[in-house]
Amino acid sequence: MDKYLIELKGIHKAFGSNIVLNNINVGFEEGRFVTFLGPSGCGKTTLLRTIAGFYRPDMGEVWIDGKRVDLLPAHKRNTPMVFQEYALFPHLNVFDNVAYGLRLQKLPRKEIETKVREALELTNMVQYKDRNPNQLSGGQQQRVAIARAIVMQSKILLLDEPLSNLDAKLRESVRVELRMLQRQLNRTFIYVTHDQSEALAMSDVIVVFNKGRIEQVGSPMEVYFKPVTKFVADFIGVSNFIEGKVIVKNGTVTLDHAGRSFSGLTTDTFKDGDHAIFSIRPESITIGKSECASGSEACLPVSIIQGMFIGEKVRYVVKDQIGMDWVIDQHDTQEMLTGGAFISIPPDKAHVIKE
Amino acid sequence: MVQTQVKERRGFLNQVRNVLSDPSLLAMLVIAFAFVGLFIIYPLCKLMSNTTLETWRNFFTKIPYRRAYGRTIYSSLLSAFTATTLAFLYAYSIEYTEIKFKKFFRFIAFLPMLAPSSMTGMAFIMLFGRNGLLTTKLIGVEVEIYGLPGIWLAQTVAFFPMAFVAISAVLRAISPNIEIAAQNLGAKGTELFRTVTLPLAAPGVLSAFLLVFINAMSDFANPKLLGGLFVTSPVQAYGVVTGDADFGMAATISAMLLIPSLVIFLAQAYIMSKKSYVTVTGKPVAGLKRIMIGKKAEIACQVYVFLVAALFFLVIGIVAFFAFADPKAYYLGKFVFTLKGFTETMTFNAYTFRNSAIIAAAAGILAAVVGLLLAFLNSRKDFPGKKILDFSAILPNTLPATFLSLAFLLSFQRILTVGPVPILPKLTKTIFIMIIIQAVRQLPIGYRNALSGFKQIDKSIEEAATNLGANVGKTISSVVLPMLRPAFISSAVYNFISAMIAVSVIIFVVTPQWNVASIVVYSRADSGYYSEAGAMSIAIMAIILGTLWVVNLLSRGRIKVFD
Repeated sequence: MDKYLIELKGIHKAFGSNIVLNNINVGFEEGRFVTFLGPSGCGKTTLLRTIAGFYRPDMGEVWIDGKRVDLLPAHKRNTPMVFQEYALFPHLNVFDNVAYGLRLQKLPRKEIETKVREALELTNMVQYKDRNPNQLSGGQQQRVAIARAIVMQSKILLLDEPLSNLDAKLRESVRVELRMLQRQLNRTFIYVTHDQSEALAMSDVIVVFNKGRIEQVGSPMEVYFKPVTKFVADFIGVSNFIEGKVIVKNGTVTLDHAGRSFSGLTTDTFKDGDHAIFSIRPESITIGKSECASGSEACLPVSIIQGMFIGEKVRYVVKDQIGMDWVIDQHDTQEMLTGGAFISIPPDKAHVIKE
Repeated sequence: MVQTQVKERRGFLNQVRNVLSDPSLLAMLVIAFAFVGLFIIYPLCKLMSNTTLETWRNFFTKIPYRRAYGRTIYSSLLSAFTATTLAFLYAYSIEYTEIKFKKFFRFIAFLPMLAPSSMTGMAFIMLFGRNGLLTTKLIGVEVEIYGLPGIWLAQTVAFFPMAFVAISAVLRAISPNIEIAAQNLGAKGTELFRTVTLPLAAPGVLSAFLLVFINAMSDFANPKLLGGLFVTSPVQAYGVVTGDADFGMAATISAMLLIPSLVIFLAQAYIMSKKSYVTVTGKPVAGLKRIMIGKKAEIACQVYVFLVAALFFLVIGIVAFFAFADPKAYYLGKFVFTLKGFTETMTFNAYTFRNSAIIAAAAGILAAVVGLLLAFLNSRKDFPGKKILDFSAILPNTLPATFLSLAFLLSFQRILTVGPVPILPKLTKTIFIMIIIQAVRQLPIGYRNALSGFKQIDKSIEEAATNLGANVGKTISSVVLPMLRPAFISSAVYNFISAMIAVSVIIFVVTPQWNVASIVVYSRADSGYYSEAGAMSIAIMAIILGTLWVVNLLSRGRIKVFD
């Protein structure tokens, strides 16, 4: 028995001379919430649509539940999908929209009714079953789109940026609901988004895409705290980067920046003189008016360019002595610094990336 | 790992493989290409193959042919210019000003489109002809309406709606916000019009002009009725066929009519592909209200639309007058009203109404169905020969009506065979040639309507159906058709109306058995029986208005045929 419910083997896809998927090899186990994350144009939606069968890969294989499906037309795959614009049938009411796929399967009427009711109950849409899509709000339409997909009883559910048309507040609550729904149904959700906070909040597994390639596959914690490439560190959250040749000493690597020595932890093996990038998150840095005392922390004199109060934190943009910009977040503070200051970086907070 | 260069799987062979793997797609393609090949491409080639070196030499050396050709182009340019100018002013008044009774005047603009195409020509004879009501009878002067002035006048009125539709669609698509922005930057009055409105409307005005020009060139009924000694090429071609049975010469004359419109068609396609300011969806743009002109200018606009409407009513009124006036009494200078015109016409021509209704309804539906099929294939599927299909679907717009008519006559008077295999029976003298030629003539409209319908439907809705397990056929029947129903009905009704009033396109293929009402109007008017022709015209208009009313009623105003 295969370990993976969905497995993608060596997928290549080009549009014209533009390669959108470049050697994608990845597999997902059953019951996982998987997120495809990346900037627009990175290939994440193309891959989702390749799984659904709207695109045929130019090379490579798509396996679902132990069967190779990349040669199967889209309507024979049973890979229900929630579309970005919901794509509800405007001429059918909510019930008929949800029942559409079941009717195509020629299920008995009673069974269709029961299943549609269940799906509408799961999405809290039972009382709207007689409405037409144009009588629903955006959030309600989306629930119908989800109901229409989950009613298909497939082990898989594909979601193409389903929250992007909702307003910010609603998005956060639907996020939670979707995650709960996935746990309840225990199906594999593949969720495409460019929103890193969505990906971090919902996923078991995040697949980070860039320019048609997979940069990293990992849990939210892994991709956030242990990005394997500069792209991942930069794309997920905000980070400060310093780079240079390293010196290795007792399992820690250090590099020089602006005349100071920075050290970081890594599981990669480095030798003296290797090139490395240190990624330091804004919240790992402290800023103050006085020079830091302790020797283990790297301490840099900076000038504050801008301070922004964003509610739960103050975000500073500062310049160090060699002209590099740093972003620093200070939580739980009510003061706003200006002018010259010092920033200090604890040694274990710098994540080292080998390039 | 060795990185192999990946190329997209595409090109002819891949398309063929895709088509072969989908039987319903294959079936649709076979139907589409068969229709287009048999009824558009083949007649065109057939007509061309009827021309000979000699007929071409004749055309360029013999004065009558060249003169008629020159006159056709000249008169068509004049008609196109006046129809476009008048329609622009009219459309501007309706779309850009706050004049009263807009809805009413908007409807009036379409009136000439709802009447048999020879009715305008006939109306001007009734008004200004040798026995004209206005000139000879009421004022007592004789004017020479026959010749260029008559053709020009009649075509200007007859093709006004066509120009109006094209121009008002563009004007409506211009966002008021653009002009408000220009006003905000200090542009006003004629300057604003010249620097913003006109450039934005230019593509629509140009296409209106060309459309009228092409249609005026192939117009048969009006020049035949009003031309007198001013013979245009379509009239000449008709004479060459009916008089001398010289099909080769007629084909040459028709082919020469095709050249300007083909050049225009290709040039327009090229220019449009280069730059397009507004996407014409025909949907009004939400925006702020713009105030473009002063109070005085607005009154002028109101007077103008009123005058145009009055002219149209005059045209219909005079035809109605003749329909009810006793012809014998009229010649003696007396006005006696009677229903004899109607009763006499109906005794002999009632069957032509039945024919008209059957043919126009069948053609209307056929054009809408084929248009829908072609639009679906072109906007949603990938297959070899896509460009050819698209080009062929719009081509009948470019083919002069009389050209198409002659081409059908030449193409389908025998059993059509491919080698020894018969593929199509003889169509001439049957109802089928009448239906198919009208459908082909209307195909571009059905096709374009369906195409814009598909553009408005998000592709993901069809994908959703596929995703839930529907194959191509099921997707069309359960999702595409229900959503396109209003567009489909409105284009079928529009086609029905156009087929009801058409003369030029069927002039060569019409036979006594399958004679239609619009032809009777023309032939009675041509023979001077204005009472009968008038009665027939009024009856046709009544049928068309009745149809529109019923559609409006049944769809509760949701289906708008003229929008």
